[in-house]
Amino acid sequence: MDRILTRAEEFLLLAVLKLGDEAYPVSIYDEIGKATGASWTLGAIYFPLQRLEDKGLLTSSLGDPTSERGGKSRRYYRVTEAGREALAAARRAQDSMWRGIGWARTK
Amino acid sequence: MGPDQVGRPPRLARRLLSRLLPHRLKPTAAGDFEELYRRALAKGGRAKAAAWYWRQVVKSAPAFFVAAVYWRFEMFGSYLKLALRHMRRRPGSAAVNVGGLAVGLAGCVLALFFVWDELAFDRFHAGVDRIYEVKSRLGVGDDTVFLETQGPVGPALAAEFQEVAAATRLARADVVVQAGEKVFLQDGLGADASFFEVFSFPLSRGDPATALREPYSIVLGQRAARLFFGTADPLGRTVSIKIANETADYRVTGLAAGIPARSSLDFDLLLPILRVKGPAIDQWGAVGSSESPDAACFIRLRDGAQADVLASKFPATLDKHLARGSYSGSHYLFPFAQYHRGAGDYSFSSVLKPRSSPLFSVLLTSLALLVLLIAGLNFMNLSVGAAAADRAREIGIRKVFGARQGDLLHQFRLEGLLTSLAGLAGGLGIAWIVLPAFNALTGKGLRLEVLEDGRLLAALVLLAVLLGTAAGSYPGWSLSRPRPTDLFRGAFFLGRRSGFNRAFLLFQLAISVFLVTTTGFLFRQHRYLARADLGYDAGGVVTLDLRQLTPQFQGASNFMPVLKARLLQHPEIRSVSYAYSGMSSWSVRVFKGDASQKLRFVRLNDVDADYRDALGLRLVEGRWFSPDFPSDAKEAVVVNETFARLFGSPQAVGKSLSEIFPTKSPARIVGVVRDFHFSSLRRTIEPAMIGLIAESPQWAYIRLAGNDDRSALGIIEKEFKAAAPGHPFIWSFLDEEAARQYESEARWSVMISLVSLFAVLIACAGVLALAIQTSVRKTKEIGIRRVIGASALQVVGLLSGGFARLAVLAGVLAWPAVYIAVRKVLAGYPYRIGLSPWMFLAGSGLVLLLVLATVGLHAFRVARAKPAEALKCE
Repeated sequence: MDRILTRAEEFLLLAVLKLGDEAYPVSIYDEIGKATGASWTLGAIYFPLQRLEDKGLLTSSLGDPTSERGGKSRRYYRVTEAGREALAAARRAQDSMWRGIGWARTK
Repeated sequence: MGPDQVGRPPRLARRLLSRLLPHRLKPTAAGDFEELYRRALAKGGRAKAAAWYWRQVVKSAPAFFVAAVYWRFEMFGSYLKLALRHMRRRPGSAAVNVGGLAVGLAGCVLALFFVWDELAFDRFHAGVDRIYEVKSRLGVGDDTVFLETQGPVGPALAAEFQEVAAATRLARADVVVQAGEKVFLQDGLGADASFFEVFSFPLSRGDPATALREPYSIVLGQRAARLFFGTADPLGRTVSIKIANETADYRVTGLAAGIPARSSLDFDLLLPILRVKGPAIDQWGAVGSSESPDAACFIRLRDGAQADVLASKFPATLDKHLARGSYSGSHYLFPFAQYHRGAGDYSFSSVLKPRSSPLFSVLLTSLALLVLLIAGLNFMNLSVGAAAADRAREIGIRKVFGARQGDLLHQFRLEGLLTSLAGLAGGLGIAWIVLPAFNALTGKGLRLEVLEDGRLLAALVLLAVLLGTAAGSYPGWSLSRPRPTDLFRGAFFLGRRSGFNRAFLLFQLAISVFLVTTTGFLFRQHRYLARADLGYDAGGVVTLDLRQLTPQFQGASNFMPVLKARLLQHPEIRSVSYAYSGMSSWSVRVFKGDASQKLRFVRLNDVDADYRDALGLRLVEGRWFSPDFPSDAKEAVVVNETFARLFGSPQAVGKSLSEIFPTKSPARIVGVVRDFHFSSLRRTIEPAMIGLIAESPQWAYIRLAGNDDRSALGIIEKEFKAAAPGHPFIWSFLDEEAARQYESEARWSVMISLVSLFAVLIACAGVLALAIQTSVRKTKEIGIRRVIGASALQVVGLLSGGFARLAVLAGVLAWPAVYIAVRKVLAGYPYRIGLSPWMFLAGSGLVLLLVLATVGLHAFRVARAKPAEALKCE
């Protein structure tokens, strides 16, 4: 990875990773909403997801169409090996930046 | 709400969402939104869920928009990559495409330059639209001519009409300039002091407001200043100038900055018109009488003044002054800005440069567009044709993977765009290379630097963009429509016999036939003009320009008889004659014949008794001038047949001139010569009257006796220098000079033949591409036929038959257009070739031959291939 992930990308990748086989936009949206407490717009997560896929950090596949979705399929995402490495790199970078700063943990 | 609508989000919001969603998200994202809506519905009821859904859709809009823009760019990149890959893979058809478009666009570049240059003519004058030439109309009905005005008209208009800001009269005259030791014969332009108020010629030295105020002041052009004074500052210096019979010292009061090439009016010596025309220029008098000379008259109107309103007020003012009776003094205004482009009846000018024919601009532009059209059609044909065959599979696969028709269309448009932009670059390169030749052909001084005017470049780029997109749209459209399965099977090509392609080819060939045939006619017309029987024998005649010899010199040295006697000593010289006016510049007067009251131009020349022999004029009636009749000098004229027909009935010979028009001359017509073309063949022969010259000829015509032109010329030069020491020896051959009048026809013939050549070459490339496509489609058929026993020739026939039919049909289609165009062009020539049907057949035949050769060569190669190979293919 030549570039460290943005925070949004990091969250998306973590959400997909956590959700395992059940990672599709609605569940990702819920997961991020739960973690951050902030209410995202559903529409805002597609573009970053697509970019992550273009970069090869995610792969996606289509599920079966269901009637509760108006006959539309789900697009399921999976984190690739490159995605895991990118997450690890982001984590390392963050840790090294935090090293030596004490107040946040005590608080 | 239908049953299946139960539990679905509000229809309007759903529609909105589906519009907003980028294409790539459509299959899944709407489902996500709907899933969340159902959850909200289950939790909090329809109203809340609907509100949630709306809010989400609206808030997502910016994100979707950003995504759409991003993907558009991503797609563009991949289109570009694909386009370049395709071009690299088929360098042949890419070269034909780019090359064809380059040639077409080069033509457009040149045509655009030409038209641009034409439109810019005379535009450098500030407020050029307010400059008008005043002309007086003479005659009634069809016989109307517009003449230059009486001298006082200009000043009268400026004095009496508030709308006229300034007026200046202009007249040209030959002046003899003495600067130091050197004597020059120069073309002088007489003007009023207000000249610089009407025209905007900047002065690099001197004050335009006062430059021509003094009676003996002169403004020099750059060339004249260098000639007279070298690099020294001419301002304030004096030159001795002789005009007519007055010699005086003139003080240089101004130096004109360079006069633009695109100016209808130019001058090298500008001096007060009073010096050129004498004090009579300020007197009113009878029309045509020598006591009131005419001059060209230009006025500048004030801002907002209406030319037609002003002209309607002229009679009331001017009729006070004009002698009525023999002529009605109506005056008209002609916009100077339109002079060069040849609009209106702007017929004759003694001071302005000859104007261009607007026909040339139209011709050139249409030629360029025709070539471009052929090239564009080629491009379409090649993209859909041979090139498309191996792309069908690619397109099928892209469709299966969800490419929409629009995406594929974009792909092809981009390829078209790339091709045409590459073509434009190539076209500019070609234009740059051929520009010198083009300038030589058109007599213009165009440079590629014109493109620094951004508008011109923008117009060209726009043209290329339109062309590329349009040319790419057709293949894009026709290839992106069929179902992918058809594309895989190749049914698209086998099923459809590409009727469009045939129509395109037909059109291209028709244009080719049109160009080739028209070129043929133009060449023949030029040859006809250059070789026509002029009515006299121009071959073997040397013309000497004697205009540098002043009357004083000629009188003192007894030049006329001396030169003649010296030359006639030599057996190489058969006869020597003199004339006042040169060929094609006979002086003109307007006369009104008594019988019909019609106005007639009559051409005049004074020649000596040997003129008939030197030029080989043929006498049809009466006699020629003869030394046996000393009274001939004053009392005899010889007329041409046209004159005799118009004014000489019932018996021309013996009629006195005073019977024909009011004149004090006692002359009688003593003979009639056969009509001959003293002016160019572009004009009908006018009535002409020839008198006997007494002294000061300006031209000599020397008929050579033998075939040794070189030694004869040597003799003439030697004897001339002996008779007129210190004078320049200016000579030409009369027949060459006569042929040179048709240079512009020759240039245009060459230019159009070049254009035709390119057009036909491009069309042939298109034919070849289609032939390749056809033979690929018929590979199997040909193989089977060969196995069964068809000869190679039969296979060639099979492949070429369709093309031959197309070429013949194209010829027939082109003929009416050729007929109309050629007739229109030839209508400008009173002496012209007929519209021979053979030329039509020859033009068609030539194109047919080229098509057959192109297809035939390819077909022969195909036919000779081993049939087994053909049958194995798939």
